[in-house]
Amino acid sequence: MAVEAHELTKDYKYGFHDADISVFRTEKGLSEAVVAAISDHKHEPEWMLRFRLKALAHFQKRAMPAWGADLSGIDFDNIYYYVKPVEEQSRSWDDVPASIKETFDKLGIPEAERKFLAGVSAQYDSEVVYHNIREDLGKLGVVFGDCDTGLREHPEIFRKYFGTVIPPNDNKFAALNSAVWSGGSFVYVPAGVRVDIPLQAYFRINSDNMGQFERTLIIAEEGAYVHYIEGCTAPNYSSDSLHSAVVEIIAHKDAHVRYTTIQNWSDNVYNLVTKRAVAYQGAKVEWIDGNLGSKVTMKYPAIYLMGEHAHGEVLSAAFAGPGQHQDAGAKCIHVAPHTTSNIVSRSISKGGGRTSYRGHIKVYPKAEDVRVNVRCDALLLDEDSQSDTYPYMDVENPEVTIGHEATVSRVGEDQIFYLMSRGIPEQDATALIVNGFFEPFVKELPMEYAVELNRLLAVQMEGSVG
Amino acid sequence: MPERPTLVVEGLHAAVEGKEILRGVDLRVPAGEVHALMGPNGSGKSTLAYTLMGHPKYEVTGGRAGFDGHDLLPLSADERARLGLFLSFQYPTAIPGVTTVNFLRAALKALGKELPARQFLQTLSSEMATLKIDEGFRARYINDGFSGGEKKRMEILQLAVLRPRMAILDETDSGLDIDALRTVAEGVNRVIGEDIGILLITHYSRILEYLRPDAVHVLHHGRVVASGGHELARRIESEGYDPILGAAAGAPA
Amino acid sequence: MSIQLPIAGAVGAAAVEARRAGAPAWLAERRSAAWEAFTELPMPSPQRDEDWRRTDVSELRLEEYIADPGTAAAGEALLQAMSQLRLRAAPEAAFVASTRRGLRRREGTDMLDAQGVIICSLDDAAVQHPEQLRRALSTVPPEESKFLALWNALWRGGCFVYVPPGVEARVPVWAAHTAAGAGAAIFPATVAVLDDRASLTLIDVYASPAGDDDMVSVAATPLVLGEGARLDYCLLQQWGMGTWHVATHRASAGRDARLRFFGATLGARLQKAYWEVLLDGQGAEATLTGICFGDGAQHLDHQSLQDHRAPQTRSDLLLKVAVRDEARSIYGGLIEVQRRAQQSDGYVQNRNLMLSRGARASGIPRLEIKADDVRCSHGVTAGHIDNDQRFYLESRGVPRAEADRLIVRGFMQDALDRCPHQGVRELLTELLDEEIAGHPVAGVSSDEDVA
Repeated sequence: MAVEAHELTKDYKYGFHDADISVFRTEKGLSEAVVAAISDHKHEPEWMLRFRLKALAHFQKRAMPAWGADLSGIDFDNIYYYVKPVEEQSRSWDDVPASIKETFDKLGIPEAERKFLAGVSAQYDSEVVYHNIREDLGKLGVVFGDCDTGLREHPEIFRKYFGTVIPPNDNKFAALNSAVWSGGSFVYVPAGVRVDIPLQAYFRINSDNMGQFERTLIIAEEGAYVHYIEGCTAPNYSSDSLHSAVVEIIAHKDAHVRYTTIQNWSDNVYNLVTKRAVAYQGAKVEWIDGNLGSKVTMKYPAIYLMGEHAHGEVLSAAFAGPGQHQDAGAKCIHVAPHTTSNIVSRSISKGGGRTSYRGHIKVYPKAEDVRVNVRCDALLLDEDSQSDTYPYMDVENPEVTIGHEATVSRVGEDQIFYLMSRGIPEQDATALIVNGFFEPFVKELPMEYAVELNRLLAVQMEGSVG
Repeated sequence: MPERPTLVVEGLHAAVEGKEILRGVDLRVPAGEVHALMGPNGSGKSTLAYTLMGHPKYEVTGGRAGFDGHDLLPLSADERARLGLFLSFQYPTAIPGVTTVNFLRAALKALGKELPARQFLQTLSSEMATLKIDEGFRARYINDGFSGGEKKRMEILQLAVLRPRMAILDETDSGLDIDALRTVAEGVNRVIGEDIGILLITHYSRILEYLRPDAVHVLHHGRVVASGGHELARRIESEGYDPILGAAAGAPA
Repeated sequence: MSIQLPIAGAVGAAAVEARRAGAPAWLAERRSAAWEAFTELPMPSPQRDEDWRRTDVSELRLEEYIADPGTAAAGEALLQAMSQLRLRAAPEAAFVASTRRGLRRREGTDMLDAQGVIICSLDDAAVQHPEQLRRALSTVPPEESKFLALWNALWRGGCFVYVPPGVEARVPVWAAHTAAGAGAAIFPATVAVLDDRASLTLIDVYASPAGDDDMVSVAATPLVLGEGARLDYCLLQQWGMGTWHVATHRASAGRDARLRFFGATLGARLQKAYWEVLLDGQGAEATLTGICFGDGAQHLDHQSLQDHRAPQTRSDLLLKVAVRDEARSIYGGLIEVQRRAQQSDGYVQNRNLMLSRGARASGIPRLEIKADDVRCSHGVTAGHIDNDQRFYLESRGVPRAEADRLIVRGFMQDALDRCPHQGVRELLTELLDEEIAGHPVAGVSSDEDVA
């Protein structure tokens, strides 16, 4: 097993790290002083400091979750909560410091921007070092920047929505994020504006013992459309890092927001993320959530269906290799009548990895004519691996139709044999089946991401045979 | 003059989950010929097909099987396929998420018969048209949600596209109505030629009216108990298996 | 501050002492240890205990209920009613009935006696067949939970069945548990040990007079299946509408054993029932089937466990639930497949029919799979009466109420069909019809007030 884990580490393409060039960092550990230092360094308004300190109190009071993955390896005192890599954010790629630029070059970012993105944001440790948006979209009133800038430049709208979907006392890690958040994205799409190609944010942890706590707030006004994509990577350090983001989405009447994540943290990152959207009348929210990396992920993107005819989709794919535990899932909370939701989860465990699907469907008493479909399939590639399914379903209205189906199986011997009988070697046959298993997820990705995901899967699959 | 590539089975014994099904099968099928293998249910026909293709569940307990001078038994299924063997499954397996077109391309590549994309798609289109398979099936997942007849036609499509040297067709005629049967039989007829041998496993003689085998063998209790020409199939059709098996049963074991 | 004096006969140390008297040493010791565990263990809490998240028993003051009613409480009419129920469904069955005072009836056992099947109270089994009883009790250890601790400390009477190797019990055993009167606390015990290749049909019935007397029932039924043993177990819970009922039904199945478990939940104010099968032996197989009808303010909680501990084991659960009025159903299920349990299959289906606004249903079917060569699946649905179905029936002249009855019956039918005893199936069909029709529902009819 050790050999295999080593090989996987070797294969992790983003495992390189740069020399520390940070210009400012808070001392290790968490205290009111650290929180105040972050707020002060950012020249924040008073209300935000109060918000942070209150959240810190919640965090300190709150017990660690007694369920889910094993989090005992997190040492909150041994983490840098804020690391600022550069003095100024750049709008021109040329102004980004060379070492950071090289990092993002390796990740293919400016190239991607040229090719198929409407805007790009790149966060390095605690701060966004680069962001840019296509000029025509800016002119239409679309805002895409980091959250700190959002707070500075759009204070009213920021304050109106910030922390309303996920209050600081929602859970321990949302409280932590609320106390020390930095960076992330602020997206505002005015009524009727359709951003027809994706906005993308890259998140990169570079420093050792670093906690990244980005905060993302997306507001789509009536009839607006936006597709936001995030990708996450980190170097392989011997000690663990913590990534604890909060993402809030507000989809107003008839708006459509799609949020795609390809999480490929290195296997020493604890990835504990709270993501939640509210969907008002006729709005549609989609979470496309792929978890390939990290040591431990706990993440259950949620949609609160607040208005009639709102629709929620969660498409989740997880891959757990040696030493990994992907505890992922979805929540759809039906508050309003005539709302629908659809959850599809696919997970694969191999080499002792563990995937858990954890979901919650709730239908409130007034939410009649609700339709919900949940489909979870898990594939186990060997006998050392584990798969769990924990779906919670609470129905308080009689006029509903809810279906939940789950299966766990292994790659079928007959499927492999069928492919092999056509000349395809066993390893390729397995890869074909695994890719096919993720197909419902992959087909929702823009082409470039689908290709990248398949490549990442191929890397993960190597070492699983032989 | 070199001998034509031939499937040679000698005294083959095979077991499934410890139970012996094949008890000494002898068979020779040279390229350029169509051989029919008939027999009642449970006689071991499908077991022979799976065993020749190398399904891991079927354990060879004795005898030999070779093709074109190569010993088949140590080879895995994909190696046998690359040698030119092909099995049309009686119950083709569904593989959700893998589209037919991607699968065929992967198979051609593995067999070293990769075609330029355009040519590949043209070949596929024309073969699909011949077999009356809707173009839409290209993008559908292999056998996923296909009807029995659609699955069988898809097997023959693969036969036509992959062009093996020795094809074992396991009850490719079962479950087909008369029109579908004709379409499938025509599909098989199109690939028949000097460079391919066909072992046609069937329970009924109906398909033989279309395919005219060069030889007919009858399998019973895991052995070939009778061989002959097309007239043997005719006899089975009119009299059933009993007279032939009865005679065979009387023979010394 | 007032000092609470213990109520005579209440759940407490004195009641434990009363049961220790005359018991063999091992049992007296076990009861003391169980009582100690009970006093030490906290009451399950929705905040702390995952399986109690949706069922709150913090209001339940166990020590205020009466475990020992004294000799005055007769219960003859109630026992008669329990016997009638048996005659309706399985007149051929041997009949064993208990109240709080212990075993009260033991009838129609001749045929089984002749086969060498042992049928007696647990108290007698403790003296005469201690090894078999201890073997069964070891599967329900007191320290596991507060309620199991209490049961271990306070059970009395009950029904113990032992079927010797190779014996196929010719008639079913019908175990009845009943109590009546406000404040009653009963600790029903049904224990079955099937030796290798033995077979038995066991019908386990819990009932009290209709009405809403505040009572509590804490039950456990350890069932042990030896190699190749076959047990058909039918469970009917029909407590009155004021009863709190917490029960652990746990079967352990040896090599190639086969269990058919059928449970019907109709009564109780609040039920927390664990239906568990531990597939310990290779090739063991269990089907679990449940029907549940809740109305009024009933809170009915089922927790199932299918624990695959050996290779080639199979389990299949189907639970059909209909809830009306303000009733609430909770279903929590776990299929667990241990690493060594390769080539096992586990299935769960939970179907909920919501009959009125205000009714609620929760379904939490969990899977924990540690072996790769397995097939496991679960499905949960919640739905309502289809207006098209209802309209279709009405358009053929069927009145609305009758249409609904037909639809609910139709909904339950595939589960009812899996009931292994025909007489019980017919009885349940009738009881279910009465429930759907909204007749005075749970409980047997008896004018007896205390038992």
